Amino acid sequence: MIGRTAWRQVRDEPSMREDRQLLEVRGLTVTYQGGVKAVQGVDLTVDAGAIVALVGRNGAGKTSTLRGIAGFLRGEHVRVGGEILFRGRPDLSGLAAKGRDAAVVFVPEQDKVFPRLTVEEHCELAQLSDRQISAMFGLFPKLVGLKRTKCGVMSGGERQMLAIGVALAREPALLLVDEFSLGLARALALELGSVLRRIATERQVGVLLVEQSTVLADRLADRSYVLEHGVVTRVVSTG
Amino acid sequence: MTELGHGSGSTAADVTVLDPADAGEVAFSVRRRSSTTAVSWGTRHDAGLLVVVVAGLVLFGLLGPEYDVYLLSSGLVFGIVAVGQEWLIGRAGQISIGGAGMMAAGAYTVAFLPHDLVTAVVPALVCAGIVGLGVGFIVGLPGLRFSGLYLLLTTIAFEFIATVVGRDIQGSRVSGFTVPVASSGWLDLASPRTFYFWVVVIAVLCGFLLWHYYRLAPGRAWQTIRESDIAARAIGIRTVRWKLIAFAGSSGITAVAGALYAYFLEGVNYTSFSLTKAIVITLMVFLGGTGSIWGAFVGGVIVTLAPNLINDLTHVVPSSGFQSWMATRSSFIDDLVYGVVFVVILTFARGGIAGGVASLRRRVVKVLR
Amino acid sequence: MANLGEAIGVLIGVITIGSVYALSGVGFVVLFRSTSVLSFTQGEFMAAGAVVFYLGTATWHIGSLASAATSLVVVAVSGWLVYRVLFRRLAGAEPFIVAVATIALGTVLQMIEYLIIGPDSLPMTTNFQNVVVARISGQGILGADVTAVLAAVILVGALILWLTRTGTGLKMRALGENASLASYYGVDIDRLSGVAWALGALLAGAAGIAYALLTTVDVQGIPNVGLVVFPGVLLGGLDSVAGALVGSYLIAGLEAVVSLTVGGTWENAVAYGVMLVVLLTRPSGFFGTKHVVRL
Repeated sequence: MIGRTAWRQVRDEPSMREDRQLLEVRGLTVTYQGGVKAVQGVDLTVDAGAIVALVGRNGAGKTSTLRGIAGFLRGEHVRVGGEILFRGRPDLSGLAAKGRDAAVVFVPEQDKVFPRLTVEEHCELAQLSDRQISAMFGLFPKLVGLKRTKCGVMSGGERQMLAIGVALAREPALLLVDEFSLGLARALALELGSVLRRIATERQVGVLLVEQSTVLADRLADRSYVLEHGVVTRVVSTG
Repeated sequence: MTELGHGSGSTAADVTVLDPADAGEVAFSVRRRSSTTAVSWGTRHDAGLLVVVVAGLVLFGLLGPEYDVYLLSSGLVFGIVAVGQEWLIGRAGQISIGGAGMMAAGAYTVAFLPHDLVTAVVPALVCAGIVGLGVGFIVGLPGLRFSGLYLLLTTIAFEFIATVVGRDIQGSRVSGFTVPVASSGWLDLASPRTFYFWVVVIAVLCGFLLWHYYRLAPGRAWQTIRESDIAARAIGIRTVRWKLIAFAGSSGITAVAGALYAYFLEGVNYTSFSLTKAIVITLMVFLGGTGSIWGAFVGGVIVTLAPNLINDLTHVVPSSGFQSWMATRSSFIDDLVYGVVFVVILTFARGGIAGGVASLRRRVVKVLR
Repeated sequence: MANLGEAIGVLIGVITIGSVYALSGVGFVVLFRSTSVLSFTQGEFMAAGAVVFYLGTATWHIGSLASAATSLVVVAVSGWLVYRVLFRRLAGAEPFIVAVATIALGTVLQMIEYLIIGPDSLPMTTNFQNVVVARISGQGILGADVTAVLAAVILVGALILWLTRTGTGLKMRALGENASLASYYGVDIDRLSGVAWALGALLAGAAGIAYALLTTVDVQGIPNVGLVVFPGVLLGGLDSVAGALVGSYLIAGLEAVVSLTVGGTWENAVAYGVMLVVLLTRPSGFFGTKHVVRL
């Protein structure tokens, strides 16, 4: 579809404010089977090269917001409403589900890797080129030694590295990360955060992540949206 | 809704109930919803319709041709079976393919009771009901451990084993056991009209009692359990108790119908209660539409009488060659029709007859306004 | 056990029947892992395989190998069609509805099979299955035994190679582990689900041919063999290929033991008895992943 040429244009003309706006969400609602409205009208924007965080307590609707943008499976019986504009084009069909195109990549919270597949197999599945694979190992050298290890036996930090590593290697324009630091040691979370920051700045990737800790969100993100009961109650700019 | 195509049902559960806070939210909404949708047989119109239907049944029993009365009585027996199974499958959401086994429990009770009790009918039916309650309770125990597919497999295993045990008990008696009936008066179940009225009375009794029961708190308890076991527990519903009641009660009703079936056939043979029959019973419930007493009842009657209808339809085609071709294959064609109907209902019309009627009524009301 | 010869005879029978169960069971697992569909249709796909093979050898006279190939292609295409026409619509429906739909589908298939060749069990018209290939302690190994074991080894072996060595196999494994994550990795779930249905049916069809060679083409009897696959697969944990293999041979062995000591009518009941015990004590089987229990 739009592919990589589009973000090259964006990168080439960083001065144009409208073009920098990668993702715009207006009045997003997410309704689960049984009528539970987890998200009740969320507005947010993510600019190219910016890191944006969604913060809030359990059940506030952070993950639902993110998945509403990324897309649900048909079998999940979830209704998504409102407007989602990616590069100015309306798209409600689940941005991360476009497969090979990979303009938007989503890293889920719980099962972010396939436990019975090795690190190498993850790269193959994502159809990464040799250049992309070596770029990934460049970002996370620790993964080199785990090439043939099944992900089921890896630590939480290693899984998060692999998930984010593969996601970045697919060279997306927009990266969505659920529960960025959950279960990670603080130092590791900060290290991963600095990788994200570097890539975001270098390649003008927009990052939208869900974060439990407001302290960490303040350090990582340019802007944080605070969610309560499915609506945004506060916007904090830190960048 | 995305266009991602296929998805596994379990993923939805991940999203909704992994987090205890979310579970509370789900439970809350379920409770709110159930208070508005628990009753399906409730309005005054329906009560009027019910009176008309019962009057029609009585008139047909008095005036209809004896053979048709006989046929309809067998349909009504399976109507009761379907109503019993709907309790378990539709209300409580406990998916089981054990209806035939529960019928067998009632039928074999009648076959093994002393002669005098059997000819007195009422004590035999009560005994069958009690045995059915017991069987349902036992089959329900594994249902407490798990639900869904595992429960389905468990009930199929029970059904399978019951068939083998039945075959073993029956041994060399090819025609099975005979069931004696009194030769005169209102206990003469060999008379088609007498039997018919017994069935009508029991069917109306079961339907009314269940309708009344579902309107009380239990109906809501089961609905909550059906939607989410975890949510039900979170709002303080004793799921173990309600599930066991649904299993035992549903099995009790089904066993009484099984006993009636034994009287109808004047005998018991394990081949009447095969896994195939159990599947057909489940079809009755789905055809009628889960969540509706009258729907299940109609489903039971239609599925039972369908072979006769199909047979009548073949005589419409004026080719003797076609008729004889059909005649030699009639039992396959019946099953083929069952299967196709079942698949069509499951894939295209999940609400069954009751769902169809409800949406038709909504549309008519809309037009009238 | 009276003597070594008898014991070996029983062992040959167990390995042969176990291979039939294994073929069908592995087909079941492939389908279940990738689509979460608990299929009760395996038995009818078995019968379908046997029916087409019978037509090929007895009616069309195209020879055994060509008949087998035709049969497998027909059954695989039927499996794929079943997905495209029916089960695609049921994606995301409650698992039990899908399972019940497979039962109904089974009835439809069985009746179509009846209409094609009738309800009587027909003996195979080929000869190779009754030829004694080798003898161990006086016990003959028949062509049918060799066919069943070879079919299992070749097809299951090919399946495992396909799953572990090819790109599509890798996608299939990913889909089997986590459908939604696989979709985020760009896996075309819809297409692969069709492939899974085709594979499940193909393996069942092969099992059906093997079983029909051992006995007869019996449209009513073969689906019952398909039902016995469940205990074996469940013993292995529903979603594990290795588990299905081990479970299938174990159940075949158990049935043989019961048939020898208690009597033939109880052998299938024992398989289901074992299944009940497994369900009540260890629902995830001995190889399966724990998450299946939640269904």
